[in-house]
Amino acid sequence: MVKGVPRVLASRKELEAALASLSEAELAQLKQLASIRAMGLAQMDWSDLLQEALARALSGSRGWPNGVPLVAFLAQTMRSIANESWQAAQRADAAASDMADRQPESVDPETEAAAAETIRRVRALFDGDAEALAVLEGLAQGATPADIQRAASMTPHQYAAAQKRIRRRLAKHSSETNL
Amino acid sequence: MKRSATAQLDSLLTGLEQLVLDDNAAPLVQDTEQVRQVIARTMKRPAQPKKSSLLIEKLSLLRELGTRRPDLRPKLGLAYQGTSRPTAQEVDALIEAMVNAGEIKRDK
Repeated sequence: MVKGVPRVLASRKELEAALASLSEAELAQLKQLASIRAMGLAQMDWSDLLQEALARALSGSRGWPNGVPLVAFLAQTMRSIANESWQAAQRADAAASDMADRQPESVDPETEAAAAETIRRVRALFDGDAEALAVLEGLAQGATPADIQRAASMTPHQYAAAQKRIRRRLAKHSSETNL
Repeated sequence: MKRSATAQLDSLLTGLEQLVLDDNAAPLVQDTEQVRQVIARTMKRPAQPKKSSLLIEKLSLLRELGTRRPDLRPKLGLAYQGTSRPTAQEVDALIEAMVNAGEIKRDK
């Protein structure tokens, strides 16, 4: 987006038309994205997350900027909702532990434990695939592809192959997630 | 400085999302009917953005406590047992009961 130029948001009618014309591949992508973001959320499954994102978009509380691919926009919206959910869980922990006065930026031990457990579950999907695990580790640390390849002594070809395996595994995980 | 597990998880999931978004290959065969149903169901609903967000917040609180603090349930006389979805009324009743019992505080 050009700085200073306001974003033009799609109307509800435009959004409904775009939703109605999503391809099979895009629908599959949406489910995968929702399944990924729902990992570790005790209170929402993938369909809750997707439904909430759609509800916000359709109501206009979350505007879909023209020019942004719909699937990417919904992915970003689901990410925001999931983050709100993690923050709400943190507040609930604080309240339950009589620590409501804790500084908001402090990290809650129970939320940390839940996040660590979710990372462990994600890694478990790739047990036995050292290169995929190296890519996941790099992603978790916010490393660039070049950094990950260097740290794991992977060639660009090996890195691309590991990404492909991760995508396949995620797709399989998504198809198994039929809550 | 070591990054928190919460920050690591967000980075990890964001990286996985990007992998999915960048995937131009034909997806594996999946049942997308459920996704269509979620879309159709949501499009039929009247728009209630703030209420929806608030309910999510309350559900989050309720489910966390139902899971992590089962001792609170009998104390508060709740029907919800942490294994099924509560109604909006049950959530409101729970929040009210928890505030009255001093278990949680309302935001100022």
